[in-house]
Amino acid sequence: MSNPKEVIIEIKDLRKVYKIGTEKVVALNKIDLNIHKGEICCVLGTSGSGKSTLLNMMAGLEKPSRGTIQIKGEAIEKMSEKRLAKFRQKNIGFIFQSYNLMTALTALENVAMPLIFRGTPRILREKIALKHLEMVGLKDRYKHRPTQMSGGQQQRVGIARAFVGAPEIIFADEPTGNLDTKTSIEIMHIMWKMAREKEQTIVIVTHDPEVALYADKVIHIRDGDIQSIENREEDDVMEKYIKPYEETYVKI
Amino acid sequence: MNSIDLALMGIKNLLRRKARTILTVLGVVIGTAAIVVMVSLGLGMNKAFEQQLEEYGSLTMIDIYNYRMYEAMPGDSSGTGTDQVYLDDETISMIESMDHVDFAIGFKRFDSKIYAGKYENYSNVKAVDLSKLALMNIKLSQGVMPSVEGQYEALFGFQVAQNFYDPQSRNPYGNPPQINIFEDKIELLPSSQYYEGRRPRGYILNPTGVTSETDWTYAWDIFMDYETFEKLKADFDRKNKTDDGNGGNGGAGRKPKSNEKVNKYDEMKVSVDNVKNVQEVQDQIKAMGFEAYSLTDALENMKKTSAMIQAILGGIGAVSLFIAAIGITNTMVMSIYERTKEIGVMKVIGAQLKDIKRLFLFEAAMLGFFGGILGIAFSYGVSFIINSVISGMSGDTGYYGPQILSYIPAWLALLGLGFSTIIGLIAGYYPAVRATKLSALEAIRTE
Repeated sequence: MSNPKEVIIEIKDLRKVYKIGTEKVVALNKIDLNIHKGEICCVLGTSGSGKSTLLNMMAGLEKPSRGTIQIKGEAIEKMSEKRLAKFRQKNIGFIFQSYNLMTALTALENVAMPLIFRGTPRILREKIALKHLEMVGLKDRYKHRPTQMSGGQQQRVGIARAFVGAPEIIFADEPTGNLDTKTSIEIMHIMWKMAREKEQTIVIVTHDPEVALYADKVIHIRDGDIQSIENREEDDVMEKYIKPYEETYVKI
Repeated sequence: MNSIDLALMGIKNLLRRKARTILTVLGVVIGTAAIVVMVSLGLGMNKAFEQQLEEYGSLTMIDIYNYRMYEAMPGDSSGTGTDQVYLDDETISMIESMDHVDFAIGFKRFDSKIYAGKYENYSNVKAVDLSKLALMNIKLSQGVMPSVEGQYEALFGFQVAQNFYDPQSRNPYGNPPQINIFEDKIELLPSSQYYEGRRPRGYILNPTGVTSETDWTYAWDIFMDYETFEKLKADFDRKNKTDDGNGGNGGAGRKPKSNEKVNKYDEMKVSVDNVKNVQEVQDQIKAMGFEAYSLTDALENMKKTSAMIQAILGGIGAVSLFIAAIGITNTMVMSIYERTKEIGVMKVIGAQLKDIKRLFLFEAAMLGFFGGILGIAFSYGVSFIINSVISGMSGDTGYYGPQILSYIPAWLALLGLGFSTIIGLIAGYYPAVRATKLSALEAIRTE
């Protein structure tokens, strides 16, 4: 990732202050950050560091108190709810900590959900959804409901759902927060592979340093400020984590 | 999001919460049924009114009288002429030339007596143009309409035969004789004079038919051809030198001078092509200077009354549908609370605001729609029970036919269905808007 890439998310002078009663709580103090296209980016911090607030604002779910967030050149803090919804539909995928699958729907229907909102015809969207279930290794479980699956499987369905619409950016909020270490590595591996394949940008928020090992860029955040940004070589990640993983698990 | 996916998703959501959906729909069922049944009672009443009016006579008939006549008797030289109107053939042709008029017919009433053996009977003879009488479609229970060609042919009202009595008897009306007008010899005296002892010879009538028991308009009349009767009366008067003035002012009793206008008829009926045009024709006839009556006047009043009763009944029904609407709103609001997270997730993964709004509106409309369908089915059932219980109590014999109390025409069923669906939409609007305003952030907050 050494060659210069276009900036896809540009954050300038971002500040968020919550008012709790008469008290003001500064969640984010002053953030300046550029995220490039195709980068796998990890925001690492303890709880209360302001990392989730940063993610929410990047996804347009919260308005900043000050500053701008430009995604693909558009200032999302200025968008109306309606425009934001359209923008998200087109450009953004989302992975949740607690998976947030629709319990009444099958794995396939869950994955196809974003395509329903786009108005994709049923046959086409089920084909696409099935392909993405295959990518996360759950093709034969397409008829299962979330309650019939383990946490790791549910999260894999969640990942398939985030990727199904081929968005340019994927936000993941503590994607491994509810999972054990082994499953976490599995999840990270899948996300890494899928994002690389189509040069999608991922922003992962986590407090788990092990998750951060997969990132090209790790943003350490503490008490509302960026402490340091650590960039890694792409091949480094590949050599150190992906290959050994594949040798140990996938080839069995 | 396309409509089919939206509908499928909405129905799935409703089925997911079966108990609540069923209870809410039940509320709408009761509300819709209340309105439909109440309105159907009003409509049934309307129908009963119309049925009743038809017993009195045709709704498309106008009766015409000439009361001004008495202000200027013929022979009164001051008869100022032009504004004086007469019920004569000229008037008939004038009225028949009006728009919407099928035909006009004149009647002249003569007090007469008929005899059957020792029994006698005071009855009116109505002299009339038989060819036009045939146009009136008078329902017969027996026989055929009289013709001009026959010898003294006459049509009898169905009550006429019941009015014979024995003048010799001490209790003449106590024991009405059974007279068969077709077999017994019926003798007519075109005079209502009382004869002590011997009565003059009359004329043997040839009754051809009897009017139907369902129509009381002509129950006591005897219809005969105008000219035949006129000749018969002239003959009688010449033989018996009686001129009792019967026949009013210069009818058949007196030969009118050729240029003198007289009331040839004392009553006319005008048949109009359609009930809607009755009022118009009636007004024109009144403008000519005649008195004109029709049943539309009564019908108007009855309709006004029943419209008011319908409004009151419908209002009572509307209250229950209103309560059902609150039920829908409540269900949808509860549903939003329950689905907060789901709605948030949907927003984050790409649902448009209008998708969410439409989804909730659709679910609410569906509650109304299903409630409407079942409510109408239920209404038909209730209506059927009401009608069969009522006609079971009163018995469906008699000339009023089976009594209809509750009547649900197709338009009422469709209206009820549309109304309940719209009520669902309206009731769902507030929850739907609320759902779109839910913060998507709620969704990703992990508790």
